[in-house]
Amino acid sequence: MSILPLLASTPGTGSNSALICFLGYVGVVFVIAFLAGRAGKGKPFVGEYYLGGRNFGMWAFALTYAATLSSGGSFMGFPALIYTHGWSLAWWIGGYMVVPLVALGLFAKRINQVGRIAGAITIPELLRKRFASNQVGNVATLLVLFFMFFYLLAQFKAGAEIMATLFGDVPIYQKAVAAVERTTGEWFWIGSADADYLVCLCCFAVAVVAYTAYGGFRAVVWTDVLQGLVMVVGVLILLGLTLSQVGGLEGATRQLALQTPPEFGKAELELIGKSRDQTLAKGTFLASGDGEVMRLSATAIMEAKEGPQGPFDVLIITGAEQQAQLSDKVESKIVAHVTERIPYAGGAGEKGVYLSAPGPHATKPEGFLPIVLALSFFGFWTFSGAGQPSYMVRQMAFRDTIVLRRSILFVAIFFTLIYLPLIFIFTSARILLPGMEGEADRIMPAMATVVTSNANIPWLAGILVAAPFAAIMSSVDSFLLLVSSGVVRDIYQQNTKRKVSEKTIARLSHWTTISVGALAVLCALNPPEFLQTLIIFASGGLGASFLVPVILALYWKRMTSRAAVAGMMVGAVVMLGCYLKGWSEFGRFSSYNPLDIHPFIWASLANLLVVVRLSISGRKPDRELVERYFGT
Amino acid sequence: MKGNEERNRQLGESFRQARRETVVIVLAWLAFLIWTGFVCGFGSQLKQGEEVVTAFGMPRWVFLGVVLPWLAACGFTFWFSMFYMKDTDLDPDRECEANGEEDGQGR
Repeated sequence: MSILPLLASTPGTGSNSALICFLGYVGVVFVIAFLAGRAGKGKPFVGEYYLGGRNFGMWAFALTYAATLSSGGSFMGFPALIYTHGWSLAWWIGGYMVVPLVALGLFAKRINQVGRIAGAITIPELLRKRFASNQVGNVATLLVLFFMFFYLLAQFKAGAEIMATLFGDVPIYQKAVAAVERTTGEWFWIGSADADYLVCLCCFAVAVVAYTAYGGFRAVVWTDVLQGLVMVVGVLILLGLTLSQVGGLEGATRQLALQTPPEFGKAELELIGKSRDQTLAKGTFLASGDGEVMRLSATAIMEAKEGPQGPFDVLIITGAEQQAQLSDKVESKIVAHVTERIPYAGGAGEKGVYLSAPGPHATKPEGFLPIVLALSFFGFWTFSGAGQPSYMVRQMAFRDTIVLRRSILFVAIFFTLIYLPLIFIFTSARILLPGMEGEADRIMPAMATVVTSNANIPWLAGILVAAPFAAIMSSVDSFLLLVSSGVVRDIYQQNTKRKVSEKTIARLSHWTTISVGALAVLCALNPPEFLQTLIIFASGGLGASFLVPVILALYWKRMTSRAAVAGMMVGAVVMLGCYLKGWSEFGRFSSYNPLDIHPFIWASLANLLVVVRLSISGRKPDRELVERYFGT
Repeated sequence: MKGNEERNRQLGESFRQARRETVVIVLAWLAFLIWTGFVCGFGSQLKQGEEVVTAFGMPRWVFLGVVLPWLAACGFTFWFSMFYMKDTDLDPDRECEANGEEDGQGR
């Protein structure tokens, strides 16, 4: 039996209460968004819709910042990586210890000040006015739209996957899935997506787009406050439940020390006794004649006949302890015969590999995290986080520096309460849920369900699953708003000659938000397999393009508009180039890391060199412009 | 003109203070990078058959190289945000406009 169907809701079982609990949470989000939308009525539209009137206090500012920074990657992709590679992820994520200090301390004060002086409400607009150059603004807008779209795709995929896991086999949901399958099965592009994923993707998109389009930035911030609190509470409850079920962190670490990485392979399957045709779901546990346990990597259709069938792709569990733990989950009427096995390239057969760096890796002999890559990730998280336009724009919304100072401390505590517990939880997850490497992106909801079921409080799974869902919603709404502000404010308003009324801008903003959401849904129908890859590409691309130009625009009087344009473009091109080379080299969407250093670092260095070189060799900026933004 | 000069002087002062804070932040980032890199780089590699040493239930290199600096970073963030970072007027033009109205001068 697959572990994930434990999530399935059947009438009369506790998991229905989890679903009700979860839907209740979504309902509260809607009510808050509605109230926020009403609160913003009667105020100037553009500043209100995109920046909430630049008047947020500590709770609103700190929680919206922290909640937006903690995206689906933090709650879906990051746990999947911890589960797959072990404790080395503690080092990988270590840069987050200084993210609040660097991301807020480095930018917030100046970006807020320059934003107010310029009257800017988006980052491209801020750059446009800082350099008095439309060209700078246009390039910045295009880059934001390009990279942010990948970010949106990843978040939509994560949101849909959580819903699909939670809804399981709820009857009304199953009927909807069947109806959608009948209707869209033959449609171009749409028909190629799984019907359950399609239904969930549409539900998720409609919900988030609706409240974002209605309430704008204020709704996003107010819901972020709730979502941020849900994240912390959810993670801390999950930590308590997990550690109590694995015998404490010490117990989990001791057991993890005995585990070895699984093997990929193929197996022929044989039905035992009289039987009929069978469809074996992806993830079904099987055993060979000598008791070796494995999981199906894809759905397998077995005909009612004697003799071996296949071969089928399987993930072979290694280690006597894990095999013994899984023996009661095995499909007893089928015997598997392993015909081919491919061990991990890094860490195969090594006990303790999950407790040390570089950690195991399926395809890289050097392991998951070589030292140089770990060091570059320390820089990546701090500076790519700081260089994201969606986070920068929030820094234009706080009221005063007292709010900023308190918020820096608040966000530092928030991240400590989120990221360290996540590491403890998902290293322990290997003990509670072994053999999930094939669907590691679903480990978070699976853990939520299993630990609450074990503790006999299944309704709590709704709250725990709401935590990653909250993270995803709070990121999607922010990114939607950022993309629509790029279209309306930075493209339409900048390029239209006539005066446009507030009413027209309002209507255009709402429709742009809806259209961007619809387009993201269409593209998210067939997204790349790995969520975290998309997120790292998008955040790396934005950071590589914007970090250096924005920070120098805020702190270096000598910087010129020509240098800003060239710097942004060079950063983006280097980042794209590394991913294209990675694609051609590895045959999948993955980065190429020259000298084991993340491409974000190379792209940012190239960006810095170009900006400094062109600024120094170019004409000095106008004195009036410098005085306007830097004083004397 | 006097309003403009005052505005520019105050803005210049707040810009220089922000720049000083930036230098401190970059140095702090560098210090934590070195701490984490040094401890994790040397402590996280496990030789074949070597026993893992734990601290507070986690591998010792994680405690010393990630959790401890993380807590230290929180302490540093507290000092920086509460005691080192200075409050600044974020909207020099608003104040200037207000002054201008008071003495009858617009910018």
